[in-house]
Amino acid sequence: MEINDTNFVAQLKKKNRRALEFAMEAYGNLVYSIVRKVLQTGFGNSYVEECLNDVFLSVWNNMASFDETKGNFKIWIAAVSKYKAIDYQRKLSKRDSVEWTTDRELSAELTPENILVSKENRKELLAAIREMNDQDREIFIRRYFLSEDIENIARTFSVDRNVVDQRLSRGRKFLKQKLVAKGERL
Amino acid sequence: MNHPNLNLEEKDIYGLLNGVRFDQSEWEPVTDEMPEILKDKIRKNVLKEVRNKNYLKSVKRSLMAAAVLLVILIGIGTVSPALARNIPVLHSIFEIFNDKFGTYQEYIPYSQLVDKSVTDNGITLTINEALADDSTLILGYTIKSDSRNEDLQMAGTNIMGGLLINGSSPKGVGFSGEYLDEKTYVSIARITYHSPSTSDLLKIDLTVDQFMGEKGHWNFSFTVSKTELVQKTRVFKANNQVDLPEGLVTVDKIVLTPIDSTIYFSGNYKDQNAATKAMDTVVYRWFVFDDQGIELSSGGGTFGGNEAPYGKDFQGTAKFQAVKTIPRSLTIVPCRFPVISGDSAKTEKPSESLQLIDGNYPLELSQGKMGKLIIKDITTEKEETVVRYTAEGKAPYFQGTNLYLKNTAGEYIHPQRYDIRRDENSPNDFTMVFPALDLSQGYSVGTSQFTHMDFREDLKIKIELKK
Repeated sequence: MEINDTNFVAQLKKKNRRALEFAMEAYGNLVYSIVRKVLQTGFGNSYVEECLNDVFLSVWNNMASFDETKGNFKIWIAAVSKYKAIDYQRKLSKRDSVEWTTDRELSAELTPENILVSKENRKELLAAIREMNDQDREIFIRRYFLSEDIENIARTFSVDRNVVDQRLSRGRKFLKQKLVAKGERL
Repeated sequence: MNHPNLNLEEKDIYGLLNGVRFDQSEWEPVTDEMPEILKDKIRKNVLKEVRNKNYLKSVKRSLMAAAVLLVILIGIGTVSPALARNIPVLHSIFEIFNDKFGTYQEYIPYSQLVDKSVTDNGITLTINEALADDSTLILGYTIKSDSRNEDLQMAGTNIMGGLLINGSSPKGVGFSGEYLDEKTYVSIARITYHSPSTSDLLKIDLTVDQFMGEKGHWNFSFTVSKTELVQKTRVFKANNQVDLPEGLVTVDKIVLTPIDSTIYFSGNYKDQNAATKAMDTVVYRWFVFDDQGIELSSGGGTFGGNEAPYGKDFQGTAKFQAVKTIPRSLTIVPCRFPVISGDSAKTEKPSESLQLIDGNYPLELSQGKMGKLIIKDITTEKEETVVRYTAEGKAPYFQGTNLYLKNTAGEYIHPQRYDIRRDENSPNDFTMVFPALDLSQGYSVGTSQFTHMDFREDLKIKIELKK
């Protein structure tokens, strides 16, 4: 069977390695440029390579998480690349003991000191995130998983940055309430 | 900037990333081009990783094909616990299992008592006994919980993540388990390992820090002697080749121990790309017969390219049941199976033979080219419904594993366990045990026609076991 634009997503889900080769060829440059932008400054090329490996392996291992009805593959793999690169950056910063600017507004309320979400309770957490209204959830994910600038997020939604701040705060409160209600330790 | 440390799993996060419109101006238009050298390197690395992983999965899948054909159709993992078994004293897990299933007899004389228990957070983990040879470690263990717990089974398979044998992680683990009562689960883990150490003692470290959501410490450190089994191990060098469409496989040696039989093989692909593609659609399973033509039941294996000897693309092992006496020869027949994904198994119903259970026996169920099953009788006694049957054909043990019951709605009835009990004196006679059923309620007994199975007798090889 020939792998092409129309069937590669379905074939990737079926664990066809040729579909993975196709995706690597088609989206290699995109993934590369996203990862490089996050990692190159300060961390060097060897981590870029490691992270690229990791992005494609993650895509392979987590294709079941990709939902075609919610968006296209290109945006998803871009988001996965950005998320992975940020995750690398975070781990490398920790390892190199480089002081990395932490997001104060987040750490104020949502760090392990304040919220102890144990692994086995991740389902509740996930459910709570899913229960947020669409816009709040998207803002929350873009800010905290993809480290996007508040200004940028504000632009996409055509709102003032204060509105994004409010939404983020609302999202955190919402999660907190949900988790308290479900008996999480706070 | 940190993303929140929320302990979400990656798959959850990737799920949340669906449809998020993050700022595309950050990366569009894409101007960076990945250098060709890097592209090549990444492609090789990723495909290698994926191939090794997948291969292991495929091999595991093919070796378990009997169970898979059945299990995937039913939906995995909900065999209901057999409750309240009234076994007052826990002597030997191997003995308990042997009494029930008759397949663990060979373990008993070599079993070494470990008997170490650790209790934390209301959960007690006991390593009862162990035995080991040069490539297999077998542990019998018990999990006891303060309260009735249906997750014990799952916990029983999860704990082996923190297992080290001579400091290295195992290559593979297979489990059998059974509820003794609502709060007690006993399990046997068969662990395949590789250790360069020549010492007769295996050093075992097991660290468990989480159990069904409870954090705690269940740590064990003990040694298992392999001397007794190693002394009784017989190694036969071989050099037989199997010419498969995808590659040339050489059987390098056969190792027979009192607890299992292992075939070591290695080989080269004819065309690596074609073989890689074929792996998506086909897997091989080897059927092994002794010099009396009795099929040996299979028990797992390994496959990979990373540790292949010089000049070879891959190497692996296939494990089978132990032989009672050393046969003069072993015959191997390779068999091609299509890969059945969970999705297609749900939609594509394989052709089956189905007969209504009406009290008249024998009932004959055709298995296509492979042969047939003859149901001798089905009875309900005490808490169990027992099916007694004979398998006739090319691979009777394998055929025997493929038996199931359905109710009037066409739903599968879970057997107590997917292992079948083989009659010691008549090796093609079997019993399969189900929860107690009222047989007047229109149940049917069925099996697969094996239409997709390609039993390659033309490729069979006979290995003489000379001293």
